[in-house]
Order: sequence, then C-alpha cells, then structure tokens
Amino acid sequence: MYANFFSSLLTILFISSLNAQKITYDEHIRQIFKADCSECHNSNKAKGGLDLSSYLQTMAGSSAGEVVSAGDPENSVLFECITTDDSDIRMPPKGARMNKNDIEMIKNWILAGALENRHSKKKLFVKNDAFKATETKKGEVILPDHLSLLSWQEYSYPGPAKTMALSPFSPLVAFGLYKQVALYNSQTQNLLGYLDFPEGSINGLSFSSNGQYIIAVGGHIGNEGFCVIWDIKSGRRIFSLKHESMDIHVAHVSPDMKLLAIGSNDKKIKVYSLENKELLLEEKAHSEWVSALRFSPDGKYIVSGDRNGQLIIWDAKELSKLHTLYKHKGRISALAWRPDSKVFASASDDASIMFFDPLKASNLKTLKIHKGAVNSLSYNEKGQLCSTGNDHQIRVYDSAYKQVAHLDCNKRAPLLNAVYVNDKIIASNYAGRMVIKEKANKEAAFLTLFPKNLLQLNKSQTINLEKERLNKKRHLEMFKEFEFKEKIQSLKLEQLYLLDEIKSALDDKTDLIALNQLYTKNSEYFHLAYELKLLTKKSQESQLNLLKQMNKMPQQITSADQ
Amino acid sequence: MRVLLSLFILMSLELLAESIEQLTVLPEKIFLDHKDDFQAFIAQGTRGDLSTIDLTDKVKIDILDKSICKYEAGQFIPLKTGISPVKITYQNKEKNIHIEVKNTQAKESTSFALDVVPILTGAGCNSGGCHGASRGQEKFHLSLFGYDPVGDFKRIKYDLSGRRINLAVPADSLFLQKAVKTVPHTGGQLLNKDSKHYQTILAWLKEGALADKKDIKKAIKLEVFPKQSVMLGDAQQKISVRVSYSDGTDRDVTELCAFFTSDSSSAEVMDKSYIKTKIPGEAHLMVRYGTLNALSTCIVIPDKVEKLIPIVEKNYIDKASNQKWQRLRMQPNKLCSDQVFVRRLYLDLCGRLPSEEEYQEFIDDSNTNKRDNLVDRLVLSEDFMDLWSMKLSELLQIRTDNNYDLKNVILYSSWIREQLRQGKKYNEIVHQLITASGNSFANPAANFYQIQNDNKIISENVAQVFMGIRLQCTQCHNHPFDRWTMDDYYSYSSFFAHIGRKNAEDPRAQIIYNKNSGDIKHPVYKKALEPKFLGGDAPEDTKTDRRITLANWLTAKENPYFASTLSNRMWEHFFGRGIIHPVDDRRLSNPAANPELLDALSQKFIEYDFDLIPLAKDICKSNTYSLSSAQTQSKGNLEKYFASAPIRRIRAEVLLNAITQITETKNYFSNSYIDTKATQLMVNNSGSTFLNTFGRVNRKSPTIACETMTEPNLAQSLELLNGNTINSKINGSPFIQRALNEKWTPEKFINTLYIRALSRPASPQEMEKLKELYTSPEKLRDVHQDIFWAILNSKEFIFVR
Repeated sequence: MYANFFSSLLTILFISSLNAQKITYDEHIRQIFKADCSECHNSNKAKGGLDLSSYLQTMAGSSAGEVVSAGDPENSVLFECITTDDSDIRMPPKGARMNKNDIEMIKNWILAGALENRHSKKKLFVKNDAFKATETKKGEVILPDHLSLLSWQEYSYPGPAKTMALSPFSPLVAFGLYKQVALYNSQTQNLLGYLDFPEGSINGLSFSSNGQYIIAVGGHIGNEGFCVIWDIKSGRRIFSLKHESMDIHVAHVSPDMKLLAIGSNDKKIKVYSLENKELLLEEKAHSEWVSALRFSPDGKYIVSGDRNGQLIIWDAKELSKLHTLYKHKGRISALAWRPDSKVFASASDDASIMFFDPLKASNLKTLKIHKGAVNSLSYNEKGQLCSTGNDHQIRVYDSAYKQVAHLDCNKRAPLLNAVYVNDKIIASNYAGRMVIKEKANKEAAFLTLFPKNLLQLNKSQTINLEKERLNKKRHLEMFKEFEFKEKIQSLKLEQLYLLDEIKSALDDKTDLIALNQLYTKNSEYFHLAYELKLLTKKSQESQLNLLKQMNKMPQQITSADQ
Repeated sequence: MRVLLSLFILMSLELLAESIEQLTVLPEKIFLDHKDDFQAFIAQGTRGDLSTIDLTDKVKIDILDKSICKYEAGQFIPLKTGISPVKITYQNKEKNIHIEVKNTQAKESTSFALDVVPILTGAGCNSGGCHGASRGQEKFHLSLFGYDPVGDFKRIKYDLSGRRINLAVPADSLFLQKAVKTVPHTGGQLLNKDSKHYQTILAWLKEGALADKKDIKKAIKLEVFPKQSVMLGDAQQKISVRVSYSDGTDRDVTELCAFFTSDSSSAEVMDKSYIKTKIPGEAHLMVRYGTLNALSTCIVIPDKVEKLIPIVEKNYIDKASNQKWQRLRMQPNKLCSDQVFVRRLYLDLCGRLPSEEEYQEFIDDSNTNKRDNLVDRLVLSEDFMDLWSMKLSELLQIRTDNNYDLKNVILYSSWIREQLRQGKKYNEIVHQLITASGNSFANPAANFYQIQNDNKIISENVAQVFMGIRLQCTQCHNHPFDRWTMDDYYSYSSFFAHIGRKNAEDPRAQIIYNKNSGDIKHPVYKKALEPKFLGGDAPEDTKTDRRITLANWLTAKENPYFASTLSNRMWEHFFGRGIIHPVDDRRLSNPAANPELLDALSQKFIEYDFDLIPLAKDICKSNTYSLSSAQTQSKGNLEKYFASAPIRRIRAEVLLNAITQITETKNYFSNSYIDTKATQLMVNNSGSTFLNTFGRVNRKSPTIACETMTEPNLAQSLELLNGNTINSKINGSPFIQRALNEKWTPEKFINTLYIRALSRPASPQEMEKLKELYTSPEKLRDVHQDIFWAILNSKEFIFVR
C-alpha cells in the first residue's frame, strides 16, 4: 500500500519536474493528438495527407505542405486550425473544441521549437540486461516454478482464448485469455498458473525458441498496444514495450532474443532491439493490416502477411525486403515455419494453406483441406502441421503432406487454434474451452478455460489456497518490482539526456546559474533513482518473506472454495 | 383570491384550447409483453376545416385500472398482467385505448436479429456510407440496413479471432467501446454509455453473444402513427412507429427507425419523435425499420384560409387537379394566352415552331374551342409520331457501339417508327419486343435481345422502362427504400433466363430463340429461382416460352404498372416532370404528386386500348396544360402539383428543328436522308456538335431523365453565341435573303421574325429599340443578321413558356 502510494507520488514528482522543462512531442503532444486528431490523421487513414501519429509524419505536414512551423505558432497551419472560428478549416471539424490546456500546450511546444523528445539532437538508449541472466541449452525442459494459480481477472463468461502457443521442448501450452495468460501442462492438462497482463487483450502469444521466455502482445484493442516478455521459470516480467497508436496485432522475437518484430493496423513492420528498445526498422510495407508475422527458426528470415493476402519475406539480418508474394486471395490468418527453416506455410481466409520456399520465394504446394477460411496453423518440432478451419475441422499433416490426424468438432463451437504434440491434438474454441484429443481416444475432451473452475480443473492436484493467496501476492510484488525497474530505466535515460545537455552547456559556456540548475536536476534524478532502488529492494524483501511464509505451510490442505 | 385566480387561469386555458370536430387516438390496442416493453401513443384532433392538430400532450389520460400500467414520459409501461381500458379525453371528445399486459417478466434473452441489429440500423452503423458499404469501413462489413443478420452475427462474433467482442468482460468489447468512443472511432460516438441501446447490446454480450434460433420470429408489419395529417405551416405532430412480429407480438420501435421525407421543404421528422412542418405542400414521410417500410402522409397548408378559384374543368384531368389543389389550398395559375399556347403546343406535339401562317390562322380563329381543334389536328401529325419513335428508341437504347452495327440500328429504329405510323398500340409493340425471336435482320424487334446480351440487365431494363421500377439495387441486397427483395429480383429475372442467342449468317445479326434452359443464380441461395411476376404470383403455365408468359402479364390491362408508367411518361412529355418523378423511379418513398390524376390517366389509357394519341389529346385539351407559367402570388411548390406551367428548356433535337425551320436552312446528318429533321434521326450519333452540346441522349442507360434536359452550361451558351451551326445558319438564311429581295421594311422583318421565333409580335418598346439599329441602308443585311442572332440567343427562344 505504502509502496503504491509512494510510487504514485514519485510519478507526480516525475511529471512535474518534466513540466518545468521542455515540452516535447513524445511526452506531451503525441497523447493530445491521439485523443483529438487520431481518428482521421493516423498512419492508416491520414486525411488530407496529414498523419499526426508520429513526429516525423507530423513535421512532414499534409498534402498542402508543412503544418507546424517551429517557433512560430501564428504561422503554423495546425495551430490556426485548432484555434480558428472559421468552420471551414476548424479542427476537430465536429463536436467540441480542443481543451484549452491542450491548445496552450501545443502553442508552447511550437514556440519552443517543436521538439521531438527531450533531446532532439540524438536518440539515446538504455540497455536492458534481463536476457543475459541465464544460458539454457536447446532442448532443456523448462517449467514454471510456482506461478499464481489464482486468476488475475474475474470473468463473467469463459471468454475464448484468442491465441495459444506450445513450448518447443517442455510439456507446456499457453492460452491467451483476457488480461492474463493461462499455462497448462500439455501432458496432464493440469493448470500451471496465470501470468498477469493488465494491459488488455492478448492478440499474439509465442514462446522463445529455447522455451525460456513467453511473449504476449495485444493491449487495449483499438487504442494502444503492448508487448510483454516473461521468464517462464520464475514468472517474472523482464520486458515491456508500449506501442502508442494501436494494439499490436502480431509479434514475434528472433531466436537469438535480440529482435522483436511487430505488426499492427498501420500496415507497418516495425523491428525493435530487445536490448534497448531501439526502433531498427519501420516500413509501411503492407497494403492492409498486418495479420501474421514469424521469424524463421534459424533467424534468417521474417515473413509477414496482411489482410489482403499479401506475403512479404524479409531478410532478418539486413532488415530489408526480399520478396513480396501475391498468392493468397484473402486475409493471412496464420504463418508457421517448419523447424528446419526450409519451408514456411501460410493459412488464409481464401480456404487454402500454401507452402513456400523462403529462398526462392516459390510456392511449393497448396493444400485445400478446409472448407471455408483456415483459422490457424502450427508446426511442432517433428515438422507436423496442425490447422483449424471455419469448417470446425482440425487436420494434422506431416511433411509429406499426408494427413496424420483429424478431429471433427462440428457439433461444438467454432475453433480458434490448435497444436499437435506427441500424437495429441490440443485446441481452443470460441466457447472458451480447451479441446484435447488423444490418439488412443475416440472422442475429444472439452475442458473449460474459465478461471473460476480452478479446483475442478486440478483433480489430480492438491493445492493450499492460503499458500496460493500468498503466492499471488508474491507475483504482484514481482510485477511492482518490474515497474520500479522500468522507472529506473527511464530515469537513466533522462539522466543520459541531461548529461548530454550539461556537456553542451559546458561547451557553449552557458551562464553559471543555468548550469547550476542542470546540476541540481541531475542530483534530483540521483535522488529519485535512489528512492526507486530502495522501493525495489523492499519489494524484493517482501517477495522473500512471502516465499518463506509459503514454505512453512503444509502442501496437502485443499480448500473447497476459492 | 387564489381560487379565483386559478379559475381564471383555467378559463383562459380553455379559451386558448382549440375546438376540434374529431379526436383520433392511435394505436387503439396496445399489448405489452415483458418488463421493459413500452408503447407510445399519439392523439390527433381534426378541426372543422379538416386540418389536424397534435393533442398528445394535451389530452387527459385516465387509466381505469392503475395497477395494470402507468403512463410516463409519453409511454405506457406495464406493471401487472391484466387488461385495462384507458380513457383519453379532450374537451368533450372521448376515445378508449385497450391495453393488455401479457407478461411482466423480464425478457428471456436478447436476440441479435431482433434487438441488436435494429440498434445498429438506427444508429446508422450499417448504412451505405459506413459499415454497410460493400467493403465496410476498415473491412468491417455489415449488411446494408441489416438484411443479413446471420452474416452480421458471424462477422461480429468470429471475425479476426473474435477481436470485436470480449465475452470474458463484455463491457470491454471493441464493438461497444467503438460505439461509445472510448477508443478512437471515425464514425464518432453513436451510443451513450447509460442509454437503453448500450444496455441492450451489453445484455446480449453478457448472455454469451448467442446466435438466434433458426425459427426466430420475423418482423412482418410496420405501422406508423399518425398515417396522415393535414397541418398548418410551422406546426408539430408526434409520430410513433410500431412493428408487428410473426408470432403476434409487437414493439414500439420509433427510436430505432430511420425517417425520410419526399419533400424536406414541406415537412420532415425531427429527433425521431415528431413531424415538423415548413412551407405548404405535401410530404410523404417514409419510415424504415430493418427491411420494412411504412409511410405517413403529411399535407402542409397555409394557415390563412383564402378563397380558392378553381380552374374550369374541361375533363377528368382538370377535375383531379382541382381536387388536389383544393386539398393543398393551392391557388392554380391563370390560363395562358393564345400566343403562349400555340408555341407550347407546336413544340410539344410537333417538335417545331408554328409557321407565320399557322400562328396567324390560330390567333385569328374566333372559334371558342379553337384550342381543342388545334390539338385534334396536330396530334395526328406525323411529327408527333416522330417524337415518340425518338423517345422509344431512347428508352430501348438503340445505339451503335463496338459490337452493334449501324445496319441493326437503322432496321430497329425504322421498325419502331413503322409500328407507330401504322397505328400499332403501345401494348402490341411491347409484346412484340419482349417475345421477339428469330434473325434480328429479318425481325428487327429481336434486336431487343441483341443490343443487350446480359439477361439480368434486360430484366432490369424491362422493369424500369415499362413498369417504372428500378430494381438494380435488389440484385445485391434488398431495396433500401422499397418493398423489393433479392428474392423478387431473381424470381422475376428468371423470365429472361431462357433466352438463347446464336450467330446468324451475317455476322452482324443474331438469332434469338428460346433455349428452354439456363438460369440466373441467386447469389445467396446459389441456385436459380422459379419465375414469379414482380409483385405478383408465379405463373400457372410453366410450359410456354417464359417471355410470352411475362409479356402477356406485362401488357395486360390488369397490370398495375404498365399503363400507369406510360401515362406518366406521356405526362412528363408535356410538363417536363412526371406525376411520379423521376418517371422510372416508382417506389414507396417516391410517391405520385397526384395519385388520383395518375390513376385517372392510366384508366383512360387502358380504355383507349393503349392508344397514345387520345391520351395525348386529353392532356393537351385540359386546362391544366393550358395554365400560364407567369409568376403568381400563390404559395407552395406549384410546379410539383402542376398548378402552374413550368418554364422548360427545349430539348436539343427540337431546338435544332426550330432554328432550322426559322432560318429556312437544311441540316446534313450522317447516315440520314437529306431534309431529315433532327427529331427523325435514326442513328443516335449522326454527327452534329449542336445536338451533342445541347445534350442529346447517349442511350447508354434507360434512365433518360438523367441525360437529357441537362443543366444549361457554358458550352451551350458559346454554341449559341458563336457556334458554327448558328452562324452558318444565320449567314446562309434564305429567309433573310427573301426579306432583302422583297425589300421588307424593318418593321415587317422584325415582326415576322418575332412571330416565327417567339410566336408573338414585337412589343412597341422592342420595336422602337430594334428600329434604331437600322442607321444606314447599306448595312441592312448585317443588321437583319444581328437581330436574328440576338433573338436566337434570347432566353425566351430556348425555353417553352
């Protein structure tokens, strides 16, 4: 509680210290534009040729020319439009005017030179060393130690799991539910726990190629996106990235955990460095929403697909386009790579699954095994391809394009995703159920993914509810710790900028009072960082405490109700 | 004191209240089916002069059993199962409503098709400009006005892995967040978070966003209250809409409807709750709920009652017109002068101007029924038949293009003209066209099927040209403004599915035959439908050629559209505006300006055995046709109700005829005989820049109204000012030459020219001004030409008054 209060206090301090400083696009103006202008002037629609969703585009102006004249609000078309009474040019065109404070903010921003960020001269980055922590061998089984078995979000209905992912080497299957990820043991179907994703819906879920991490993307649909990476073993968040303009539709990380590629409704492919969140590639390569995206298992290629059925093969090292394929006639619903990286398959709403050679960009084979749209596609480590279709069928094909397994779910809700592991089909459907079909069994089993049915799900397991409550608290502390760390990171960034500013002030021989102010600010940052570090430490201590308490508790007590 | 005061107030209120003759309360029976059901009612008073007044807020409402229901904010709300009469009183008038509360339980479940889709339609989500467009916005497509709820359900629930809804936490669904704009939405905020509609959608999501059962009840009838009102300008009337379902239940859907008006300058529905009137006239207010339509007629009359002077009734046309104007309290214009009449009649019936002799003969005639005599004479002239063969050729789109040869065009055009000259009746001609078979050279009527080889388009054209119904939109979805559905479209177009075409010996000709097989597939059912008459039943006889069956039905006297459409076209020819306008767009939301008049005309047309000539005679002899086009004091939209003659532009062919006639020159058209009049051209593109500039029909679609009578434009002015046609015609005019040879005085020249071109002598002022131009006798020719040029460029010349 105290920590929470303190952190919000810190945020206030943080913001107010910024307010005294420069107004920048990244920190202040973007959100104003997003709230009031983004409906028409976004990267997707760009009415009048004006896109206000990024600094570069804003400064590039509209089809009629520049809209922001740095330093001169009176001569900036944008400023005129938001302040004028002339109904022909006023913006926003309908409804209420912009908030007065916002107008003032934009005015000051332009007046101060329309800066992009704190230090517009160069971009600085802070390294995140979270990925270096452990080295794992390929094929190593990694299972979570003790995730929260209590759900993070209450549901009124077993909302369908929009996405699912299979761990490459561990008996682990993950379902992307609303605001949380559910992890199950793929052999026993036992619940292993939930990962918290308060950011919103999960559109994409994948494991890192060694199975050590799990990556979820999504966010507030239609509004803002997030990408979060957890360490499976500890259930700890290690990475988070915010995507301002729209929820992230699809994302994937490179096998070496260096790159993160994302796709959204802005038709762009963006590639970030996982190390320091630097945007390495941003290219509007697609003509429609990006709907699928995958790195090849050898890390050489990225392939992306969109709602028009266009496929693009990228060189993942050079980050450049290699081939564009116009083979599909409908939305690309899924992409999957064969483990040997020699073939990738694409599923589409046009009812076909196509196989391509990434090197020659040639179509090797087209399968039409579903009536109607194909919904999902996944390869397992054996190179067996599992697909689901709008026709309520799950089909598994081997690398010789021969069907090895099949499940007809015609009497049940439509299917979403499916995986095939050790001769077993695991799938999810729109009724919020996990579908399991063992090769030996004739009928499939349907288990609900509804988080409330925890006890029913774990018949073979015994859990101690009190212990679970402490565990959930422990994970909450972990989340807090991560947030503190993130803040420290952004403080570090601030400091780097400040140091840069001090350096140039020294070079320019600025007057001592101004210089002194900068030094004071620097020490303030140190102080803030120190406070944050204390809080981090506190959080770590309470995690340890909670763990100790948990270990004292007996394992064998079960509770009737949660 | 206080009592006195209140008494005084009561009395003054009583004084203010208007006295009425009759009280109407609608609906008379109200059924409430569940806890959240409600029903509004309207009360309408009729005054002594038949005008109506909204009394909904003024009547006293007395619910006899107050435990059954209550009246709140204009609606009856159920309380307990049972029956209670409700007494509605206003002054000394009294009416009863029967209210039955059948159930007060909460509704079992929210239905997608019955509850959610109407909200989307009401908010405009599935309109043509938004998600109703064929690709939708951002590829989120909803069926136009919700005609396909099953498809909409799938797209909302399952598309993009269920991106649009969130069953786990329903309020967080993208679908809802867009509607209330918690996330950016280009369509803006359409619902309020605390509105009933938001709650309905939320309830549907909370129940698991379930699909509707297969045998779900259907909306079958839409009623609007009041059905008609006669209101004074600047008044209001509450409006209420109720839908009935196939299981006998009903629902107040006023706020879920879309409202349209046929004439927004007269009346329209505001805030989906009341009619607001403006200037005098008549407005048909169309209400659409899903695919159902209903109509409320609203007549707006001037509040000052003036004594109307009706026109002298010469025939049934004048009678129907007088009745209409009486109802609208519209004062018709006076009759026009003989001079205006003679010019108008010659242009309309002969497609040319009267000559000096013809003009003089008519003006000098002292016979009282000389107008009728002139009509009788002119209507039999070949010129009139030329005009109608031209009109028919335009409707049948007879034109040369890449795969349609000149020979076919000439054969086909000549065939049409021959039919009319031989006095063939309209129904016979159409019957021959539709049933035409054989070689298109030997039987030119068969060109009807050669000129257009898409059978669907032929069926659309037949509906549009001969029945005045535009079916085009029903090819892909139910008609948004009319009763026609896709099923209607495909079962009607099946009549044309069996047309066979094969090559004849001559590559330019085709042989049309009945191949007795083939089908036009319904895109939803993926199969062909059995033929069914448009708006009628399936034919009993399925053995004969389907086209014969259709032609018999179409040209029968009982056909509700056939005679009426041609009568309307005939009317449009003389008034520049159809009684249903546009003439080929007959639909619920575009009603006739004077339905009685149209009925009377088509009845007569049937009586005349589909003979065009007597029908034209009737129209031209009516005083309605003889009305003046001069400005009057009368208020309202006079021309819409034909209470004043319109000032019409002369169409291109007639204008060229007129110019040729008064200059006494000749035209040289390609592919035509010398001396051919512009109205007699058989080939649509016989070279003439003049005709092209003045907008002749390009005959590429059956919708002529859009093509001819184009708005005046700069090219036309320039063509008249210094175009080749005009200059060469004036310069080489034998008429001017004659005037010079015979040494006419300026007065004689000016006057003759005025009569030839404008059918009136020059006024003294005009004469004086023009005479001043004759300064030197050497320049006589130049001045003659200048005056000629000036008259051709006058507004008076290019318009029919």
